[in-house]
Amino acid sequence: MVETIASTGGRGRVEVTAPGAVHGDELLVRRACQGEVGAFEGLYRLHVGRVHALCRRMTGDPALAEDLTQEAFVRAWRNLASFRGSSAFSTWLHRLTVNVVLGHLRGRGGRREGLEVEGWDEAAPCTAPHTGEAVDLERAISRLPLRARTVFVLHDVEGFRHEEIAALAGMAVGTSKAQLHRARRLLREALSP
Amino acid sequence: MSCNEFRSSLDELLDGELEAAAERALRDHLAACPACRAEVERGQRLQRQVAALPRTVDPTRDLWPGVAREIGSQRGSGGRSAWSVWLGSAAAAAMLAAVLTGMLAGPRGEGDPTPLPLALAAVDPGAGDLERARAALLAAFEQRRASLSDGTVRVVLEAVEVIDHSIAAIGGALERHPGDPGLARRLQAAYRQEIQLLQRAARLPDET
Repeated sequence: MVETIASTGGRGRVEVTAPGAVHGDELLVRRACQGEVGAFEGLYRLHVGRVHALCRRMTGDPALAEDLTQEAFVRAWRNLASFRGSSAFSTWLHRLTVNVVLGHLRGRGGRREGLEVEGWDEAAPCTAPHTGEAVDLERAISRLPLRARTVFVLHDVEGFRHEEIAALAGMAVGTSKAQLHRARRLLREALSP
Repeated sequence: MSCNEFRSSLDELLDGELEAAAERALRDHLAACPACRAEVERGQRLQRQVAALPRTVDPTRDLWPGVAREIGSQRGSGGRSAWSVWLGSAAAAAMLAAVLTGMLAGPRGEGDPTPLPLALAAVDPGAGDLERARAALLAAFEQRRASLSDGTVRVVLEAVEVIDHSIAAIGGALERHPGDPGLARRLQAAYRQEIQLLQRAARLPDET
C-alpha cells in the first residue's frame, strides 16, 4: 500500500543562486548594464551550467545545445537594458533562454514535424552526461516527443507553471497539462524495471 | 472508479492538486488495486529521479570566447566599449594593457626573472592553497599601493571586488550544492583569475 503521496510535482522553481549570490548577481548585472564585459563574463561563468542544462534537455542535441547557450548569452547582453530587476536575473535569463530554444525549434519546423508525433523519438541521441539512474532518465527525456519533452523539462525540471509554459510555447494550458501527462506516462514506462 | 479514470487523475494526485473528496475517491480505488498502486510508485520514483537531476551541465567547451566575439562585433554599431568604461583612466588603461598582453608580466613559468613580493610564485595553486595565495597577494598589494597611482589602485581594487562577488556567489551556490563539480571548477577558476590579476599588479612599475 502506498502510504504517502508527494505533495508537489517535480522540484518546483529553483533559483540557480544561493542567497549570498544574489548580491553578487546584482553587482555584476549593474556593471554589465553599464557596459562592462568583464562583469557580464562573471554572469556567464555563474549561469552557464544552468543555461546549458536547460538547452540540452530541451533540445536533446549536445551540439545544438551549445550553440543555443551561446546565442542565449549574446541575446542577454543585447537585452540587458530590458532587465528591470523585478525578478531574479537567473529567472529573466532562463525565460530568455527558453525563448531562444523555442524560437529555434519553431524555425526548423518542429511544430510541423515533431510536435505532433506520438511515441518515442527513436533517432534522438543519448545526451546523458551522468551515470546510473540519471543516465537512464536523461536518455529517456531526450527521446520524448518534442512537445512532451518541452513541457516536461519546463514544468518538472525547471519549475515553470502551466500558465507560463502555455504563454511561452504558444499553446493552451490544457494542452500543456496533456503533454505533461503524456511525458510522465512515457517516462514511467521507459524507466520501469 | 475504473483504472483508466484513476490514471487520468494520477498527475494531480502526485502533484497534490486534488480536492479532498476527489483524493478520497482515488485512494479508495488505490486500496483495492495493486496495478494502480504500482503505477503510483513508478510515478513517485520518477519524481525522485527528476529531483535528483543535476541542475548544472557544463558545456564540453568554453563558450565565452564565442559570446565575447559576438558582443565585440556589436561595438562598432553603437555598442559600448566595456573595458574602456571599466578602466576610465590612462593609468588604468596601461594596467589593462599589461594584464591583457602580459607585456609587463614578462615571461611566465620557471624562467620568470621577476620576483614576486612574497615569493608567492612558489605557492602551489592547489585547491587548498588558493585562498591563502589570494590573501597573501592582497596583503602584498596593500604594502605597495602607495607606489601606484590612484587610478591604478582603483582599477585593481574594482576588479578584485567584481571577482570577489563572483567567488561569493559561486561559493554560496556550492554550499547549497556540495559536490557539484562544475561549481567547484568555477570557484577555482575565479580564485585563479584573481590571483593572476594580483600577481600582474605586483609586477607593475612604481608610478609615484
